[in-house]
Amino acid sequence: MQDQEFYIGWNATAPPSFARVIRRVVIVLGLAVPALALCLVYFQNGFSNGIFDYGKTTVLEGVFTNQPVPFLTIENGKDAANQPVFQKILLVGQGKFGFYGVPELAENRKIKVTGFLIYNDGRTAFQVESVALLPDNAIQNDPVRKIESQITNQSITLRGEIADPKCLLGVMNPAQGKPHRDCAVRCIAGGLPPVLKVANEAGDTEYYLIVGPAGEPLNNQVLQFVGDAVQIYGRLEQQGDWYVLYADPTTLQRIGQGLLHSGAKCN
Amino acid sequence: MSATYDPIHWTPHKKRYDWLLLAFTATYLILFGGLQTALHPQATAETLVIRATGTLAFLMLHIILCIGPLCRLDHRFLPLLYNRRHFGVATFLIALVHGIFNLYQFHALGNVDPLVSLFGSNTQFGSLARFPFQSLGFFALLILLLMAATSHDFWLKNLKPPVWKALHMSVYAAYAMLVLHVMLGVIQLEKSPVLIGITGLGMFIVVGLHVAAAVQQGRKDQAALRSPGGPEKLSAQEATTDTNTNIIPPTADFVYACETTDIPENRAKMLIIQGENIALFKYDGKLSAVHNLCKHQNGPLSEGKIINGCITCPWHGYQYLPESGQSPPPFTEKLCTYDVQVNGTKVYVNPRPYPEGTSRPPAVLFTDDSNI
Repeated sequence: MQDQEFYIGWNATAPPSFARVIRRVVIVLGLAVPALALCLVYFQNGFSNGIFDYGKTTVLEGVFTNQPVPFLTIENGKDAANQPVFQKILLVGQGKFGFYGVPELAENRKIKVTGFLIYNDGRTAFQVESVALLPDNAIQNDPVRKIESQITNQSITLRGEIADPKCLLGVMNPAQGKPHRDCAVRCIAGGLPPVLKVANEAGDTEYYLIVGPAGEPLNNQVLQFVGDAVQIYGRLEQQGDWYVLYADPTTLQRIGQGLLHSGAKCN
Repeated sequence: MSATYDPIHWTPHKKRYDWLLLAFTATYLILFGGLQTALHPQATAETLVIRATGTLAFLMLHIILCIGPLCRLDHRFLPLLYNRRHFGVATFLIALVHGIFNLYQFHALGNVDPLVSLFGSNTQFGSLARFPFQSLGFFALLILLLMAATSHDFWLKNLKPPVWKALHMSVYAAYAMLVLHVMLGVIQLEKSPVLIGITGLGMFIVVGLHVAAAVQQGRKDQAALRSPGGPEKLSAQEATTDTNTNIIPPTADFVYACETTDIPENRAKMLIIQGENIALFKYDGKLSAVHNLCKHQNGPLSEGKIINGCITCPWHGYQYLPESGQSPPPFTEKLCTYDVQVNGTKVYVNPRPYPEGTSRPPAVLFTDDSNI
């Protein structure tokens, strides 16, 4: 372009032909930038309804069990027949750690915990900030101790994605797939029990806490599979609101994404 | 152009540029945040910040990469180039917010240091589907950091232009890593083809503009090529005959460049002779030749103009005296100079460069020459 107009940045004004082009660029960007923001937000995947009540302190009393994973069983109101309703709450630690309790904490001990609720899809976890042991006499005849696991004795192959229950229930949103893989790895490496999220095409979701055949942690064995579509075989047990899969780690394998929604397979 | 290292040498243009940059950045973040809150209220605040800053930084990087080729294709885009450094630094700062939030969100508060977690949580480098995409973002951010930190004429001067230029060309490596960061990361989670389409469109525009600019530059280079053995080579007789216009006796080393009428007044013609990239300027009835690349950022001086007796670079307005290639005092930049000869209407240039800043007498055109 060898015209007479020449632009110099340190001059106060640009020649008219240059200024005209720049005005057009500003107008185009003025339209494109909002449109892009709208598209990027609108076309994201949906988010789960998980809630993390961080900052809203809750105090719970109940019976602690550490096997196969740390649970607190609490009495949560009465049913229509005026019988107590019990709820199992998964205890988790701060940050990316599982719940390790305090040295004096024993199985079936009644405790009071202070912390923050995390809940989604009918499951509840609790980030413990502090633990207090209740007096021994509080343990006696506590009705919540009478809750027993419902052993289904059902062996099943499940297909889903391994994540950590803390993020999945609401601390992070979204808390699955490739972007969240590293976080879930860190959480599971930090002692949070791995959970298998199983969903069908209708969007119904179920969560299965994964432990070894004898209830031992499988955290290290699943790390390489976190965030991938996998299938795993094991024995199913229901503990209150939660399912626990006593899984055979040798059956853990990756599957194609297309198989994710093909349903559970009982054996 | 400044003789001192001010943190920012403000001009009215830079102020307007920065206000617009701030307005667009704020508009995007506010819109993204507002829409996200309205359409996806379940998303956490951290997710909102991560996605808003990540998409904005990626968008800004696209615009930055488009400015260069746009200016090559049409000089009227040059005002976008003038203050591109501030655009780059702003992009880095927004990307930094994205990086810090990601590092904290996904890697902090765990059983290892966040940086150890970043590189140790996922080591499946052999799998495309499971590739640790966050490490790509980390290295891209590192490049942007280096660029932002050295985005000042102090560093340009002290690192020397070739090193500085090479460092800043690594923006293309950063862009490639960020495309992979997006494609191997969040796109693996998202289902909408629109998001993949937007990413692909961005790449297409960036690559397309660069190819178009390269093709155009190739044509310019081709047109600028002059061969010493060409048909217009100065003959031995011409080379020894004084044309009354030349101070230096012509020699056979001179190569035909163009006709005197080929160069508009106060403008230049680009020549490539024996690998020398030369800008041949015509001004005040004279012709002078200097090296074509500006000492500042390799801007094409042949696309510049003589203003107030100085060659003025079209990119950032750096100036040089045409006869010596020196920036006027107190500036210190210097260019190589070349001898020019005129024989009738034909212009000849000797491609042997003189040391930077060497004064060479210009070839004088006759004032009664109607071709002037």
